[in-house]
Amino acid sequence: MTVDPVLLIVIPLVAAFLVPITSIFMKGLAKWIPLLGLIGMAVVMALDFGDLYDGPVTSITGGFGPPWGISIIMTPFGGLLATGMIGVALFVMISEIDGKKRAHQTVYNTMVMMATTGAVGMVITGDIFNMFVFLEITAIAGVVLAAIPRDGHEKGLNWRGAAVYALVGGVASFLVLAGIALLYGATSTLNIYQIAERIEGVDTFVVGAAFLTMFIGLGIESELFPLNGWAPEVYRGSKWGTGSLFSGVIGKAGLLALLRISFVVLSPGLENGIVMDILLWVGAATYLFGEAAAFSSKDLYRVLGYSSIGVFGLLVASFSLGVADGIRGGTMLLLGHMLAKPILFSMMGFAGRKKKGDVPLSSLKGLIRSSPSAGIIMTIGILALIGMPPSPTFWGKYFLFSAAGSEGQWLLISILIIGTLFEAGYLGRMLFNIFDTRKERKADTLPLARGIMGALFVFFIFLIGFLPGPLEDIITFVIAELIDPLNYISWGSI
Amino acid sequence: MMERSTIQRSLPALAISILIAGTLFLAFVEIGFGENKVDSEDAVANRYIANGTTETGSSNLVTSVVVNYRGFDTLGEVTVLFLAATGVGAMINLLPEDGKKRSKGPKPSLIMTQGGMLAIPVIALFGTYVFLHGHLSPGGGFQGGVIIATAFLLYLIAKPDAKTSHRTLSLSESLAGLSFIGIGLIGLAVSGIFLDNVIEGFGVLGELVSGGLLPLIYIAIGIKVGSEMSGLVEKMRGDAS
Amino acid sequence: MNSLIFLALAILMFITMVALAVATVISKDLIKSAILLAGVSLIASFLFVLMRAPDVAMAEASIGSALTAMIMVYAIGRTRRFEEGGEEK
Repeated sequence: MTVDPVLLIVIPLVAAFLVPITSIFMKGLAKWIPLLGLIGMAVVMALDFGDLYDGPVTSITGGFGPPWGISIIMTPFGGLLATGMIGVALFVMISEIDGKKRAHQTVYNTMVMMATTGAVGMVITGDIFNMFVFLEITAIAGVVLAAIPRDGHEKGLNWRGAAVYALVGGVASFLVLAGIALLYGATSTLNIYQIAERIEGVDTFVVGAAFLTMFIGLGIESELFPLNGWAPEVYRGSKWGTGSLFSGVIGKAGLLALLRISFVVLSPGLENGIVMDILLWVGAATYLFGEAAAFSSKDLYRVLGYSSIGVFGLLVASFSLGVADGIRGGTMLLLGHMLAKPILFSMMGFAGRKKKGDVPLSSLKGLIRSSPSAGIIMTIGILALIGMPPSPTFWGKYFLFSAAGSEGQWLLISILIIGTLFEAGYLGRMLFNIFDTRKERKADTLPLARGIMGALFVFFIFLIGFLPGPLEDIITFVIAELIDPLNYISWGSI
Repeated sequence: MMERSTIQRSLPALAISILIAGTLFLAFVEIGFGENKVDSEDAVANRYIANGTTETGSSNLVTSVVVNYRGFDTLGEVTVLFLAATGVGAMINLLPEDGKKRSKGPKPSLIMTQGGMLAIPVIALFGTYVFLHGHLSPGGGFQGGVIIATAFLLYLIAKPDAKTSHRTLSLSESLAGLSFIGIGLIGLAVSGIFLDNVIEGFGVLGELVSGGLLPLIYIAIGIKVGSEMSGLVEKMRGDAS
Repeated sequence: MNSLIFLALAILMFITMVALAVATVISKDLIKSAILLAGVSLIASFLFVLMRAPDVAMAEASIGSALTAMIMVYAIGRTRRFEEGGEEK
């Protein structure tokens, strides 16, 4: 059954505009309107998901087909990512249903929904300026999310994170806009597929400048080294849900936009393979930097933040190998990270909720005894993140290593091994602390909603880990989109 | 350790800025704006100029692009403004009370108060004119909305102690936003295309009641932007009492 | 003849705009900076009219030279008015 994918954007917007009205007339209800919006998105996505097995789901707006109007082209890659994003957002929002009163919950929930809407819009739109508009929506929601402090810190705002992200995000937006202006000026069109069609006739210098601006702008959004100095400032001091959203939704949208613009649009207009080489080594450097920084951090929020940076690098590197197995591995790693990271953030937020300021490793001490369910869920999350079979990350790393091996990228393989060792180091320390029961700790019950959402994501990890087969049909389309621009061009010209 | 001067410290940043600015400048020069890079009927702009008025029923081409061809972007931009206003409002609400009194500044003079009161209705009327005639003359919902917001701003400057109702502003803002989406959904219901301008014939080109759904969308945007920007200014002013 | 006057006018405005922008950066008094920035926007909106983009000019005039400036002034009112070394007396 096909539903117009434009509803993925329209439903949450209706919900967002309803929030102020409800908060005037029914104050208690207002904070759950965004949840309804997200559920609406999930329903639309569920109805459309089956169609992705046959290729992209498309729609036009304004009554004019491409290239005159704005069209929506939900490729299987975009659809898969959008599904994951909506899942992460639902995870974040539902986990906090525990009857406790929290300050700023209405604003927080609204911004969680809007950041997700913007991210979904970025991955499903077929128009490059429309993508910029959604980037703005995501970025503004991200600034507000970064400003909202953790529970128990209601007095202070996380000004530092918000200010740094607002400044850097502003620069990123400007650069992306400049790149779009260059591409529009050079090709007289804004549709992604049509720019890709015409890019080979454009002067190489102009394409190079567009790549430079797009790379810096979207690299900032997807936390690539050395453009990620802002990220730790956001991760520390903001809520665990904000961390999950930045690593699982906002950054992922920037990542797909970067990959699509680099490989589908710009790469054919530049010297053969140069885009891939740049992204490959930037990704590898990011991986090494992120994992090393996570290894040497003391604050758990920062550990998880740096670990996300590392994973972004790993993803960029594997998608940029330019071979089918690399992209297959990247897709699996992407899913594995989107499932495992929110679990870790959620359980860590639960274990460290009484700490003021930094959350040290020791706050996980004895979690397996004080709250067995939280301990078990977090253990599975940690093992899934590092790539124990059967987890999506295991399959991802397996394909990535075989792709790198068959390409003869030995430097890349050694970077991957060193990074994985760092990863094993800090995740092992967490595990050690969870199972360290020498000191008695007061029993601590995990709130029901948080436990259910954690268990649900654990279930998905096992499901994809044991049965990766059904995803293969979608992954074929992901490979098609990133390897040959002609595929996207034929999908775009509905 | 020698203390380095400000200039020395900002040298790397300066170098990067110059590099990026230089690249952008050279690239923009290279493009040659306004020249035809593709066959002239393949450039979207040429199509808009040739068929804009007949396809959308608006004699202002900017409006036909902003509200019809690329209406979905406009919905997005309205949302950006909404989020920014909500976000700033929320953050100001979250501000810890530091207990310090903010300086109120001098009282506005007689000329300011009386002149402002004379000018406000004229400015507000002009703003309304601009968004009502968005499909006929330059301007539109955004411009009309911000002009109305300037009138509101002038009111706050002329009467700093005035009481304003934030509730009314946020209510009209939300309702206007919902009606924008509602108009879009009419298209989805009638022809299966979101934001489609479904009215047959659009009326007589150049008349006030023409252009199909476009003027309605611009009215919604005008009200929305006007109340949003007014609300933002009011929030930034803080509580005067 | 007409276009020559326009050109001279445009160049004059352009120079003034750049001068105002430089003054904005140099000034240590932030409120003065905000007002100078409003001047930059106002001249930019004149230039937009000269370039036959009245829609943009309208938006620039009301947002750039009225609303942004006033929002900045309100924001400065919540923080400090002078940069380091800029305060007189």
